[in-house]
Amino acid sequence: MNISSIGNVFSGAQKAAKANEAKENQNFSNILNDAIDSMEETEAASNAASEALLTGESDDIHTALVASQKAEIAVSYAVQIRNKMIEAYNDIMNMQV
Amino acid sequence: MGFLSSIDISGSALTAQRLRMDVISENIANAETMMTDEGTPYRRKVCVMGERQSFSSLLDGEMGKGVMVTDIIKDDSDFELEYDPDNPLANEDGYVLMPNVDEVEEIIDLMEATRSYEANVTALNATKNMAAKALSIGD
Amino acid sequence: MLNNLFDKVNLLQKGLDASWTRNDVIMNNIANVDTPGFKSSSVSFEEEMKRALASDGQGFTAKVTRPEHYQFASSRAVDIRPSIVQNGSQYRQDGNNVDIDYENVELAKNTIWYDTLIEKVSSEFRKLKTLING
Repeated sequence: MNISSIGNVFSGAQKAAKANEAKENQNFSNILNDAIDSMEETEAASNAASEALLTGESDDIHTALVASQKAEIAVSYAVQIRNKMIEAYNDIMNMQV
Repeated sequence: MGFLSSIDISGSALTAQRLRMDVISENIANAETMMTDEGTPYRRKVCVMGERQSFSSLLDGEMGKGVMVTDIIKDDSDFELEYDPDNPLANEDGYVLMPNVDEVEEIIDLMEATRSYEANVTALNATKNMAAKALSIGD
Repeated sequence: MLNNLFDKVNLLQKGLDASWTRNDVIMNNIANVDTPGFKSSSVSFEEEMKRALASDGQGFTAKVTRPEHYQFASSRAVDIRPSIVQNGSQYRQDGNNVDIDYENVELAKNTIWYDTLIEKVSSEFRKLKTLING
């Protein structure tokens, strides 16, 4: 597997998002909503793993850590999208019309 | 299931093998004991090992939970006869009943128990290392 | 969409689950090396995973050339669970068939496999973080 393929994944995902946008009339706010959903989902999974650890119900270390990593990434992702949105909004607002 | 119940599996084996070693040591220590409270020579003791069972519905198949000494039984093989006519316990033919302990067999058993103990220590350490490695996710 | 980025990690996690289960099974075999009548077990996983990845035609090495192809891990492979099978190998006089040397080798192999999978997972997360954060 070469390094470029993950880049392809990301750009592929973006293309798919655009394609979906065309198909389902999605807009940027929907993408942000999806990102927030992912954030909540991964957060819930991470919390469940933490709880299982605290109550001694699970000895699954790798699952707990994978869950927290996913949650971290989901938060970063949502924040990045929000930042880009605000940037785009500011760019538009600053246009001389 | 508790945290790192995996380690309990090896832990159970360490406990069981140690108990087995204790019993073997008792046999060896009493190899010459001609008279006990029961009125007979010392009778050899044997540990019976059994699997600790647990059925995990999360997996396809049964998952064992290690091992335990289910019973310590007395070996009912015949006592040894030793020719010792001067002994107050000797019978009319001059023979004394001796424990049914074969020291050589016991030593071999002890070596086996030690090897099993060590193998389980290795397994336990392997699990510890895996857990430590898992903690490095995301570093 | 984020879920698709986690596809590889999810697959790797299946491997981690199987490896941990395998460790439990090996430890139980070693713990019961002296138990009369005990039959050793092993964990079956790799073959099923190979079949699932092959039948879905993509697996890890899918070429991403079209937008639809970003989903390179099959959902079926990610449903694979490890299964525990009893070994029917020859047994000794007390009915026990644990081969301690074999188990020790399996233990070593499995530990290395687990460590490698962890490395892959960590690497995957590092890549995703770099992608997203720049």
